[in-house]
Amino acid sequence: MNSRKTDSLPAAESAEVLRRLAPPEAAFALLMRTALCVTLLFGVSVNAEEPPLCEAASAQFKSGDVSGAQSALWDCVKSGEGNETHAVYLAETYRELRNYDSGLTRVDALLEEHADNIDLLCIAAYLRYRRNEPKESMLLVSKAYRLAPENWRVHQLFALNYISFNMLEGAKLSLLKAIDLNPRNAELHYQLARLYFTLGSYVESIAASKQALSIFPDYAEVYHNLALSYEGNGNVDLAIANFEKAIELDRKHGRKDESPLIDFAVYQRMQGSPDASLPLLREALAINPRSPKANYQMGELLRDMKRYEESGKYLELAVSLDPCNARALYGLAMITRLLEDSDRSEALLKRFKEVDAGGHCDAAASRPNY
Amino acid sequence: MRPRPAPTIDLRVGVLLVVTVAAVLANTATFDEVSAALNVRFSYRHSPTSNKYLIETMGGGVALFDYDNDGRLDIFLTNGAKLLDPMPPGSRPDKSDSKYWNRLFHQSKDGTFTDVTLKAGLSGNPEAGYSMGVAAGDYDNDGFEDILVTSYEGNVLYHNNGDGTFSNVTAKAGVGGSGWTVSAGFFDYNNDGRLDIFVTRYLDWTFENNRYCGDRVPGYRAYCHPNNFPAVSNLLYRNNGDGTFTDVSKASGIANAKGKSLGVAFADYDNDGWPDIFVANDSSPCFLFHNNRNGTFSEVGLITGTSLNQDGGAFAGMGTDFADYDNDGWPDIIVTDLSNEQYVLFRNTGKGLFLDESLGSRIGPESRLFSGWGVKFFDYDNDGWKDLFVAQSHVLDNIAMTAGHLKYEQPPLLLHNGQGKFSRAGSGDVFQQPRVSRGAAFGDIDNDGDVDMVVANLGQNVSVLRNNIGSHNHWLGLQLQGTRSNRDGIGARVEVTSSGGMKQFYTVSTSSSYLSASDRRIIAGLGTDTVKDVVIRWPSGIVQTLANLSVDRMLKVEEPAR
Repeated sequence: MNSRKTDSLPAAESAEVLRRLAPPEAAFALLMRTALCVTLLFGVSVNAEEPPLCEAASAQFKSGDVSGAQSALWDCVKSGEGNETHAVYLAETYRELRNYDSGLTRVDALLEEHADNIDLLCIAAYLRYRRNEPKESMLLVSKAYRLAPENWRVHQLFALNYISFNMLEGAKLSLLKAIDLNPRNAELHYQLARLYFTLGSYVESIAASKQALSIFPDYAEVYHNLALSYEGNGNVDLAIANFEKAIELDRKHGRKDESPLIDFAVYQRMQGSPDASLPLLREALAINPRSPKANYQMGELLRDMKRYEESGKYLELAVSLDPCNARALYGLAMITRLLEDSDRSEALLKRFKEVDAGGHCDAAASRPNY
Repeated sequence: MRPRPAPTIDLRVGVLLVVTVAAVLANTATFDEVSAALNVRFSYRHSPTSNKYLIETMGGGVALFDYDNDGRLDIFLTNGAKLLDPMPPGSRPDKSDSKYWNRLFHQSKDGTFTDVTLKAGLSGNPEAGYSMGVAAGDYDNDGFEDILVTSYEGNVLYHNNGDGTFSNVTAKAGVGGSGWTVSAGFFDYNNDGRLDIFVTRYLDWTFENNRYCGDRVPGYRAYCHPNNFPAVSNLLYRNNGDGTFTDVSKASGIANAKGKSLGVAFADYDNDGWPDIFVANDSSPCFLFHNNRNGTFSEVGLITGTSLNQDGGAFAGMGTDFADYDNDGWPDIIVTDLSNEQYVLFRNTGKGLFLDESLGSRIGPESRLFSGWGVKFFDYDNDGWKDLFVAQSHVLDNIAMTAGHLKYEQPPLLLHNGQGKFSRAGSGDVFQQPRVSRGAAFGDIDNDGDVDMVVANLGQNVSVLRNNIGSHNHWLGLQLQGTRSNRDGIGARVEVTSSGGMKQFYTVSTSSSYLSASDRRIIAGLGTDTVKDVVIRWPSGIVQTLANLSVDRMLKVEEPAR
C-alpha cells in the first residue's frame, strides 16, 4: 500500500512525507529547472577572452533564446574553442527543450571522433540520464571519471544517476565531492539540499539551502525547498515565510511554476487553513490548468470544505489527466460514494487497488476502465 | 449547551464570579499526576536489548476495573519479562523475577492503592510471559469482572473468583491462541447475552526471525518496520456459556483478513443493533468488520472509507477508539499513528461511509509531529462534547539520531472538542512532561464525576492522572447491568438528552485505546444543564427510557424484562 522501501522507520517516515510533498522524480525535475543566472547558479564563468563564436552563443543563452542558443552552442563546442562553461550551457538547453534524442544523435556522432572529450562525455551522460537510461549514463560518466577524476560535473552526474538507482548515500557523497571541487556552484548546494530533504535530514537540508542562497540569493527553488524542510521539522512560521518568498520570486521574475503554489496550498490545508489554501490552488491552476496534482489537491480541499459536487469535478479531471494517480482514484471513489453512485465508486476502488498494487499502469490503456 | 438563563443576580457580581471562576480554572492544572500520592509504583519493564527485539517497544497495557465490586476502580498493569541479549534459540522471556510481574493494585477507601498481586494470583509468572495488553469483562455473568491478558505467546484468561482471587482458566476456556497477541476486548457479537472475545495479533515475528534494521553504525540499529514481517489474522472466540469458548476466527470470516493489527474497538457503526469491529493496522489497511447478524463478519474497510487515509494510503495505525465525537448518533473512529503522519479521524456520515476528517477537525494539524498509542474520546470537562486524549511517544528509542526534529519521549496530547473542531488543551505539568507512553485506560477513579486516566509508560513509572476540571460541570453517571443482555451491558447504546435539548450518544464498552481496558461506566457531561431523559437500547433489543433524573450522581440501571 505504501511506497516505503527501507527497512527501518525513520527512512520510511521520510518516504511517506515525500510521497505527499514531492515524489523523487518530481523533486529532481523541479531542481533541473533553473533561472538563467547561470554564472551564479553553476559556479562557472566564461573566459575574458571568449572567442566570438562562443561569446555570441553565450549571449544568446543568457538572453533566454534557448532554442537559438542550442544551435550556436553546438557550433562553439564543435569548433573546439568552447570550454566547460559552454558545455554546461549546452546541456542546459536540452534540459529546457527536452529534445534529448536529437542531442544524443549529435553528441554520439562527435564522440566517435573525439572519444576522450570530457565535455562531450558529460553532455552525452547527461542526456542519457535525462532519457532515464542511468546504466548507459553511468558507463559514460565512468569513462569521464577515468579521464578527469577531479571534474565536478562528473561527480554531479554520478550523483544524479545514483539517485535514479535510489542509492541516496552514494548520491550524497558524490554531491559533496562535486561541491568540494566547485564550491561556488549554487545548483550543487541546492541539489544536496533536495537530497537531504529526501533523506528526511531537514536540518542538513536547511543548511545546504542556505549555502545555495549565499551564492545566489534569488534562487526561488531553494526557498521552496527551505519551506518544505521547515515544514518537515515542524517550524510553521519559517515554512510559511519561505513558501511566500519562493512564490514572490517566481512572480517577480515572471516564472510560471505551479509547484510552490501547490505545496504551499497543501501545507495550509494541512495546517487547517482551507481558506488560505484555496487562492493558492486557484493561482496554480491558472498557471497550469492541466496539472494533475493541482486538480487533485483542489478536489481534496473542496471535499474538506464540504463542496462535494465541485470536489468531484476536480478529482475527475485529476484522474483523467493521470489515470495512474492512486490517490486521486481513491478520493474520487469516496466522493462518488458520498454522492450515492455506489456502482461507479466500486469500479473506481477496483481500479485504485490495481494501481496501488503497483502493477503496470498504462495510462492510455487504463482510460476505458472508467 | 443551551442559551443561558437571564441573570438573577446583579450583573456586575455575575461578571465578577465568571472572571473569578475563569481565573481559578486558568490556574488549575487540568490533570494532576498522582501516582506517588496514591501509592501506585510500577514500571513496565521491557528489557531493552542491543538486538532490538520488536516486542521491547510495543507494551504495555492497563485495566481500570472494579474487581471486588466495592465501587472503587482498581488498576491492573501488564509487564514485560527478562530477555537475554541475544535470546538463545528456544529460550523464552523469563518472568520469574518479581520486577517483571504483572500487577494488580486495589483501591482503598481513602483512595490510595495497595499491591494485591500475589493474593489475587495475577503475577502472570510464568503463564503470561512477556505480557502486552489486557481486556476486562464479566464473561460468565457472575457479577465479577474477569480479565484476559495478551502476550508474545498468546492469551491468558483469568476468572475472577469473587473473593479477591483469580484463576487461570485459559486451557479450560480454550482461548490461549497462539502468536503475538496484542489488544483484546470483550463484546457480545451474537447478542446472546454472553461476552465473546476478540484478540488482535500483530505480526509473524519471533526472536528467531528478528533481523537487523537501520544503519549498520553503532547506535543506529533500529526496531524493524512491520513491512519486514508477514501479516497475520486476528482471533474471535465465541462464548459457549459453560466457561468454554469456541475459536470461530475462520467460521466467522475474521481470519480471512490478514493484517498487522494493534488496536481494536467495538461499536455499531450502522445502528442495526449488532456490534461491529474496527481494527487499527500498522502500515497496512485497517479493518472494519461489519457484523452480518448471522455469526459472520464482512471486512468492509475499503468501501466504507475506513481502511486508508484521505490520500488513499495506509498508515501506522496503533491505538483506536470508536465513539460519536460529533453527537450525531453515529459512532466515529480515531486512529493514532506515527510522527509525520497525522492521527486519522474517520467521521461516520451515517450512510455506510466514513470521511477522513483529520484536517477539518484540526486533529491532523495538532498531531503531525507526534506518535500516539492509547487514545480515547471522552468528555474531560463535562461540557457535553467528547474530547480526545492520546498517550504518546515515538516507537524508536533512537529516533532523534536519524530525525532530529522528532523525539522519543513525548508529552500526552489533550484536545478539546469545540463542537467538532479540536484545539490544544491541558494545562499543568502533565502536558509538559515527556514520557514513553503506551497503553491508557480511562475511568472515574475517585468517583467525583469526571474521567481520570492511567497511562502505562515504558521503563518509567505509570502515570495516574486525576481530572481537576470535569466536576465543575454537571454530569450523570450510568452503570448498566444487563439481565437478558450480558451483565456488563457491553454493547448497549445510550442516548442522553439534556434539559437544553442536546443529545449525546455512547456505547458501553471496556475496549478501545491500545492494549487497555477502561471503566465501563458512562459519565455524560452536561455543562450547566440537567437531564431530560436517557434512552438505552440494550443488546437484547430492549429499549428503556429514563426520565426525571437528578444529576451529579452515578445511576445504576438494570435492564428491564421487556
